[in-house]
Formats: sequence, C-alpha cells, structure tokens
Amino acid sequence: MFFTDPDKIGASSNACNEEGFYGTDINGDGFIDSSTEAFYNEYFIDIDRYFDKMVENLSFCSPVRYSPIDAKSSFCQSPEQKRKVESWTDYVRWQRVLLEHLRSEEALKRVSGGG
Amino acid sequence: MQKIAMTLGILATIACQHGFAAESRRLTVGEMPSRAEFDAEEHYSRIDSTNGLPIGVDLYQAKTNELGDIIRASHGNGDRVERAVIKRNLDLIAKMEALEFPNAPKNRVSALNLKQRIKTLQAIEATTAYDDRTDFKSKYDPKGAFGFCFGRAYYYANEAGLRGLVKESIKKVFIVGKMEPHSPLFRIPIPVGTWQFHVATAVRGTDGKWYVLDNHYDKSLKEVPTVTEWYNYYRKYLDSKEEYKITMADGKTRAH
Repeated sequence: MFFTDPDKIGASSNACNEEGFYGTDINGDGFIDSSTEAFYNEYFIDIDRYFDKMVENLSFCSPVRYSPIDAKSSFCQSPEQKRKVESWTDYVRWQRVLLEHLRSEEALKRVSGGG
Repeated sequence: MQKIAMTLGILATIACQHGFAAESRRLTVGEMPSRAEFDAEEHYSRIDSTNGLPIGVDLYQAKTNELGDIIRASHGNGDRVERAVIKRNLDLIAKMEALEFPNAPKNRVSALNLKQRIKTLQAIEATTAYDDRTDFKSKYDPKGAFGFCFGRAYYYANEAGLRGLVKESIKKVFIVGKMEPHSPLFRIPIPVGTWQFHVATAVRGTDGKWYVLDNHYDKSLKEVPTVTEWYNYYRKYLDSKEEYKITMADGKTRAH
C-alpha cells in the first residue's frame, strides 16, 4: 500500500492533476494522441466541467463549505454571494432530481417487460 | 539476485479493471482545460511530498522493489512474507496518523469531522463521477473496460479541496497488485473483474485518523471507513498466489 499526494492519478501513470486531466501533448504537435498521450476519456472531461462550475459558483458563504463565512455577515448578504449560494444549491438539487428520475426510469423498464 | 516473477501489467496507461481500452479520439490541446501550464521537465522531476518518491513513480515497480527486500528477509516463506507485508502497511498507516495537523488558513480546515466526511462521500451522487448512475456505463464505459476508481479518487480529492480541506490533509491511497474483488448482490458475493490496483482518496479526520472516501466500499454511501478498515477489506481480494510467486536465486519457483 502507498500513500501519495492527491495529484497522483494512477499506479503506473505519470498523469497528474496539474497537467490537464485527460492527456498531455508530450510531443507538442497540438493533438492528444489517444495511444500514447491520452489517459482518460469523456469521464474526466465531464468531471472537469462540474469542477469549473463549482469553482465559479461555490461561494465562501455556502453551507457546502467546511468552514463557511457567517451567512449573516455583510459579505454574505451581498446580492452576488446570495446568488452564488442559491445557484449552487439549485444545481446540486437538480442533479439529484435527475438521478432519481434516471433511477425511476430504469425501475420502470424492469417492471414493464413486453407482452 | 532474486527475481520476482510477478505479472506487473506495466501499462502506458492505467485502469482498475481489465486494462486500458480508450476509444480512439484525437483531442486538440485547445479542448483541454487550462488549469495550469504543464512543464514536463519540472513535473517528472518532482518528488511526492508524502512518500518521497518521484511524482510519476510506477508503483508496481516500487512495490516489487520493496517486496524483494521483504522476501529476502523472510527467506521466501510465503506466510512470513504476507505477515511482513501486512505489518509494513499497518506501520505506514500508524506513521501517517502520527503526523501533526497542518495549519489551516482562514475559511479552510485541517481535518474533517464525521458529518463532513459523510456529506462529502454522498456529494458524488450529484455529479457525473457517480458510477451508480443508470446512464454511466453506456456513456463512459460501454465495454466495461474501466473500474474508474482512479476517476472517483480524482473527484473526491478535488471535491474535498474545493470545499475547504487543506491539501496536506488529502491523500491518495493505493493498493497495488492483482485483485479479484467481489460486490454483494442479495448478500451473495459476485466477482466484479480483475483489478491491477485500487485507489481512493483519504482525508484526515479530526481524531487524527485517515478516512477513505470510496463509494465502492459502501455503495449505500453511509460509511467512511478508516484506512485500516479499508485496507483490511480490500487486501482479502489480493491474489496472494500471484503476489508471492517468487523465482528464487536457484531458479526454483516457490508459490505460497
């Protein structure tokens, strides 16, 4: 067993958080060659989109933070921070609704076999 | 010199299951997120602050090197080797738990309490990283080639950091070696394939212990185990025969 810094991605891979998330243009030709330079597929691209959204919208006032700024403070009472808190809360809520929807749809498929 | 006849699976890329089978797609560099300029020379020469190895180290090889020493010290006795490996890992966990808490700047924390750990574990449900979504397989893994433990570990490390845990209290934990894990289905253990390694993100708890954010460990997303509990769970699935199959200096193979 090994402990590593959080940057390390895989056991035998040089891939690292810092270099971009699904490949490194090692030879500098402007493309990520999927056989030698790409590590991942759309999975990481989509996670990165989620994190981009999080970076943009996760207010320091959000209860999602481990140590949020006091919601009653003047900083958190600003319209911008209020909007961010609301926006991120809504986004997460809708993602959970979507998950439940997909689960229900799947369950429905299982019980409604063709006649 | 003794050689260890293990199939190491040193691949150019990584996978928790079966191997790498990415669809061939050429991504332009412009499509990549530009979080940081990548400096290959700097990157590959960097030392991991947690284990002192180069950041790009091949952990299969690192394990082989360490195992070779253990095997020599145990005179090739499989039971002794296994006991020594377990002791080595439990000692490592104890060493990590003895680390001082880092200082946390304002609005960040140096450790997570139980509620924060569970909330973070459960947060994956609202993201595309969640592999229990019904559309997950068809979208990301139609051939069943990935286990995506490395992807979920990536997700949890970033989620914990963005919520405000300092980097020193976020680690990755790797179990390296051929594994054949099972997942319970109606309480019957079902094999889920062969892994070459398993990785998850560990976070420091307020009690000093390290806890593993791994939704494979508990699919119901209720339990965040300590690293010791996590290790004891997954080491059961390590293929010991493969693990300790050793070609001794005299050329004879001894499997335990």
